[in-house]
Amino acid sequence: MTDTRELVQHTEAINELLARYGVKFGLYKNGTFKEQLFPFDAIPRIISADDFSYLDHGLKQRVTALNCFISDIYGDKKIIRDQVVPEEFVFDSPGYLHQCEGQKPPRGIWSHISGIDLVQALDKSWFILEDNLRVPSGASYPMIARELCRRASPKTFQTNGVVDNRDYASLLRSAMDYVNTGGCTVVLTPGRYNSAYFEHSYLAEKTGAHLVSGSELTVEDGYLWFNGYDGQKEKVGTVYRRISDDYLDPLNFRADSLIGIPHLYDVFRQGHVALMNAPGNGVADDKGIYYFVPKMIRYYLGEEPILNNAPTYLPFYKDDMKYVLDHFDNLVLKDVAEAGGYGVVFGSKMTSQQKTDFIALLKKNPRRFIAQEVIDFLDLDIMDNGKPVARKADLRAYILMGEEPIVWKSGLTRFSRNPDSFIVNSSQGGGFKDTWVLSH
Amino acid sequence: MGRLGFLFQLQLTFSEPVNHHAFQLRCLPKSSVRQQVVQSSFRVLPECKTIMSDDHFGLKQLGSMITLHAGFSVQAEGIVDILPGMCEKADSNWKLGPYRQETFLTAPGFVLKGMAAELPEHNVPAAVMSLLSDRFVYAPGKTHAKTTAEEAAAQMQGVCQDEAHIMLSLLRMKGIPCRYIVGYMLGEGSTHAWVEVLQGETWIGLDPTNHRTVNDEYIVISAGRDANDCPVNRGVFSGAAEQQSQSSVSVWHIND
Repeated sequence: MTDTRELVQHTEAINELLARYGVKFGLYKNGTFKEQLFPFDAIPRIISADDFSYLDHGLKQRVTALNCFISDIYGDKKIIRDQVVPEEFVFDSPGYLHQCEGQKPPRGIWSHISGIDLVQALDKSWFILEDNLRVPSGASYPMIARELCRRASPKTFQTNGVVDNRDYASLLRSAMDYVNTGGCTVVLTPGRYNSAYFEHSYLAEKTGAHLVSGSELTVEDGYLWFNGYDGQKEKVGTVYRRISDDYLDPLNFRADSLIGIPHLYDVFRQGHVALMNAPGNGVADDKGIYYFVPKMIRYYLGEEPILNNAPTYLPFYKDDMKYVLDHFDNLVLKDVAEAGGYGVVFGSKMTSQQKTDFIALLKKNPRRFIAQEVIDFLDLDIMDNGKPVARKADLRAYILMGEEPIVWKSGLTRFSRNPDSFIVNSSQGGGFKDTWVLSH
Repeated sequence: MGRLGFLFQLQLTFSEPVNHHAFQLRCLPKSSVRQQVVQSSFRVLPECKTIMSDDHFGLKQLGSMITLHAGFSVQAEGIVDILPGMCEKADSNWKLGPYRQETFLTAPGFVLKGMAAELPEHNVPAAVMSLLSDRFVYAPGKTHAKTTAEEAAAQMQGVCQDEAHIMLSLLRMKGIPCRYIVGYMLGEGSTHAWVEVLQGETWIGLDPTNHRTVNDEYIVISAGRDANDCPVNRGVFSGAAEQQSQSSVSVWHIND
């Protein structure tokens, strides 16, 4: 049995240190910027070696299939020809970028860092909740939390057989180096008002990359250059960009972007720099596309999916629409265009007026929503005023793609502090835990 | 075979000098089944290094001018042979999804849906051309670069870009793949926009503004889903300047 009692006594001290290190996330609420601490709960989520091995296989399989899908969509589109995925779920999705047609990213990798959200049900079975391929954040939180936990209670980690998770930076660096086109490596941040700025600076420091903003990068002679503090220009080979596709390059994407770099996309397209993750890969993490991922695994890999989706219905299909209307109160409905826990509604929690309005909207625009069975989560204990209480939690697993996909032996466990809430996103006021993978 | 000469000129004037001006210009034609570029040249003033690039939409010239300048001019010229009766071959049908989906600029509202309901089931492109020829009034200044098809249809006034957008919207509602084309047309004027419609396995050019099929008097520059995919000039610069832009195109027959 694992023993976390000593560690838990240090919760307050660890949280104080996290605050001092600047482990915060920023939020825009009613037009003003506010920084919030991300509360840490010291009771870890514990994953046994056997359980992790199962997740490891399932996640590698899933991410491999997703990468095949993105390649196919911007290339031959065979999955559409073979009618496995209807074209309206692809070309109408905000994640699909027509600019990326024909694009071939270095080494064929589109999603270098994938954040796959899972939940564990009461019967201990795992379900995939969501794929995050664009710029998934959060790995830095369990990294630094582990560091502080080890300092607070070294004994806990000597006796419990916890696999060290401090290799994330070297895994990330390998993924950066694998696609590097010849030059230095930078982490491109939108700046300190971004909600994940702590993470940008932390990962840059840990991987030995330059932390840069758009104004420090320029395109010249078909290559990307970092203008160093000493006035020297250095060629860039990998950009771990933490700004979204839309804002990457004002000449190829959104014209009003002030944080992007003009011509960056052209340099990438020429194969003269690697962008990770590759632009356009959001076509595969749309909530509408999620439904098709098990089909993709069968289609591209000829394998049965190891990890299951939560049971999902697409009102776009007539049979599914009927099911959704018949079982409305048992389902959770998600707007495919939203993220971060926004646009999620529970049938059972609507007033009858809200229900009527929502069903009208659903019938008018069925493509916009997916419906899922509400899963009975296996709750995790958190400490609340010195007493353990059970709360909903999910797990974000990180898969790094280099020569081979590698699943990080840790992850971000987020929990809801509100006992009635199923939504664990940090933007909705949740907290986080360390995730232990055991060596046995 | 028709041989055409072309000259494109663009003049940008800034209300005060700007620097770090990065630009992307789509003003040179690319050789295809229907057009063979015999020669083309390109220059900008003040002089600056440019590189030619190529993407899904066509050719583009890229450059950055670091130093202060209050004006910027572009000149592109060349000679193109138009091969009679030749049309560009389209990708396989399953790859044409992007040209079947409405975009922000072509998304229909009440007006366009009403118009689509009036269309026959057959010969839809011809019917759309007639409808626009009968009802659309060519009126520069009534619309702007970001006017949507629905807004233009509501007033039935505008320029070639608006007519092309309305046509795309209506054709896509009928499930017909089609794309937006920017190019040059014989005579003196500015850049022109028209539509290509999938017919069998080829893209047929239709010009709703002139109510005719595209012939050997047209040079294709770029192709996309709507005008957003094919801007002739896109640029960003440092400085709080207002930008004024003037462009002209002339295309003439060359007899040899």
